[in-house]
Amino acid sequence: MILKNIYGLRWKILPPAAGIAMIGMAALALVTAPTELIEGDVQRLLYVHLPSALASYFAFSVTAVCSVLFLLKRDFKWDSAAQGAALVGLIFTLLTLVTGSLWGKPIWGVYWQWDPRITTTLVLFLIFSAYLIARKSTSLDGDKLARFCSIYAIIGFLDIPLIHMSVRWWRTLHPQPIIAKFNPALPDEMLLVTLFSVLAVILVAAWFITLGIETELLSQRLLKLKAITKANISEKS
Amino acid sequence: MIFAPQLKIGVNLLNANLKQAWRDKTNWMTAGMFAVTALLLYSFAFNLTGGLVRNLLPGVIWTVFLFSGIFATAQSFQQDRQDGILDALKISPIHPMTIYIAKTLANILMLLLIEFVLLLAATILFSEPLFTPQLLIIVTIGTIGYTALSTLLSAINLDRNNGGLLLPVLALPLLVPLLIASVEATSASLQQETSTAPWILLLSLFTIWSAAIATLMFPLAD
Amino acid sequence: MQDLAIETNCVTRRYNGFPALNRVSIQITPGSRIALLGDNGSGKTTLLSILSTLLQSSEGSATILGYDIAKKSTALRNVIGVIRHQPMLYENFSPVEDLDLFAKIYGVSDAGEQIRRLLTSVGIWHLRNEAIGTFSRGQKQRLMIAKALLHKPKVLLLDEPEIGLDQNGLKVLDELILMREEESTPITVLAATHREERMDTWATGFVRLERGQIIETTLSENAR
Repeated sequence: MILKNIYGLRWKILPPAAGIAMIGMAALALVTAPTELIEGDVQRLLYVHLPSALASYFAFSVTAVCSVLFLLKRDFKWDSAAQGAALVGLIFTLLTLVTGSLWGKPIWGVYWQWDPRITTTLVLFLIFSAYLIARKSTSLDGDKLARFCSIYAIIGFLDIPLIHMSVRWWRTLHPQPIIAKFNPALPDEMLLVTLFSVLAVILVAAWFITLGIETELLSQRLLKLKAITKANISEKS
Repeated sequence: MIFAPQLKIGVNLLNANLKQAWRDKTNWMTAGMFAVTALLLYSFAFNLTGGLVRNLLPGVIWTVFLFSGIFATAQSFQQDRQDGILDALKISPIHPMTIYIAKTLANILMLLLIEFVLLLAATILFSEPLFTPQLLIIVTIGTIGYTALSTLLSAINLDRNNGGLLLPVLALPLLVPLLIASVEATSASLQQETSTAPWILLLSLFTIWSAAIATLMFPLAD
Repeated sequence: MQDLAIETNCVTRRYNGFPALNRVSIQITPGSRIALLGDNGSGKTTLLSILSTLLQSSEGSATILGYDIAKKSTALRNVIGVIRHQPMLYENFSPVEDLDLFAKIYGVSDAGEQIRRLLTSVGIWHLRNEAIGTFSRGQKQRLMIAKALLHKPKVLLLDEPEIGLDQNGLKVLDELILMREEESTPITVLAATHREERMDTWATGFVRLERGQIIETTLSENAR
């Protein structure tokens, strides 16, 4: 399968690609991109903030897809993949929220705005934090736990559009003065830098996801070996 | 799965669940007590005696419903699991969806009872007209919505080590749309200034989504 | 050739990679009464749980009376009766209420008569309206025997059915299940037990497990 071959090359392609892309992104974002008239250099956070948001959606999509595949095929590799991707998604969600706050404070004087998108991101953060906490629950055997968490991830993922819609309706009913929008119309140069940043961050996210998956798989193998060793020792004694 | 026999079995199981809930009242009575106590606490915390009652009451009511409801449903499968009944049902010809629906319906009925008591208390405490048909419809749809999800999540015994807090942590973020829609619908219904229609629409949408997805996912959780 | 009552084919069950059951293959003909032996942790409960459709095997397949376990069909559910370590009873109900509900679930005809007959046979008819939560372990076990037989199953999967039973209780167990002479259709029994000394009275064969594998058996050479 083509996908398998591409996945096999991941260590050769992703780290150097991600690395080069990040260097390029840093150069573009910090140097080449023009300084925004109103907001100043802080606006450059956009180049991290927006791609992080997209990267987190990407990662959680991977989690949802892997969860579905796990439920269909009952192969634990998919479950490990879902977990690894979820952790990466959570990291990028946190990054999105933090850069959003850091950007907001000097510009608008507030750390937080109840903008539908960023509020949905916060709920997303809570959902997948809960997912990872549940993952570590010890009261169930791995089989049932994996199944439950897969179901939870799928429900959580499918809930996102509904959450976004409800928060948006809620906000139109209780509007706060909009001090500034996120993403005003971008001049071409900024748009190009933004697109490149998105590409760079997605590459990094993909790399992190594969790292996360591998870590989970190794962790599972370690558990298995521990169990076998324990059984062998008790056999000999 | 043949529909008609399962329907009959489902009704029998529903009756059994209700009978069981009635005989083991402690769980539900505690949830009811919690609801009323929480209402009182909110009254002090938000100074609900003043003129702002109408603004805050919907939010207070629905947060109390959600918390007490989730705690109550968390226990709902617990007894069955302990008694080994869940295994007995899984071995039998009953379809997993039927098990789920029977349990959820029983929970919904019990929770509606608790909510009724709470609405009564709130009506008396705040002299607000809470027993309008529209509001009762909103409460019913909302209850179906959140009970469907929390019953599904409670079916797995995830929480032995967490003191019962894991289920709310899992369920509440998923229920954000329901909370928003219910509160806004209730508020609009009480104030009668804005239309309740869009909110009831969103609420119904979420409830249908929640019930459908929970019913489909339950057999997979086996 | 008639359907085997119970057949497993390299059934394996892993927990965190460690096999609790390792490629267990057995063939049990209808009417046999097989004792499942082995120390704690040898895999007896795991095997019975898989055959009862409560647990999924990691590998391998199994059929009961020709029905594939994995499909979990209604037909399969109707032919198996199960007793597990833990009683599977509504603590708040009376025996009549509990059996009545399950009679409806299994679609048992003339349920009332069947329930009366079974409760009398196991010797707890006088407790028929008492809450099960007040019963002793032995009384609950007798009720479990009645419940397992309620829908007239053809295959019985029992996990240490002797637990909690006194002399009279053991007599009931033998009469109704272990040493039963069935007129029409033969009943097959696979019972895990620690009471090996009783085995000669009822078992037509045995399988001994150790660490998830068969180490000794009187079943045909096909068993591995």
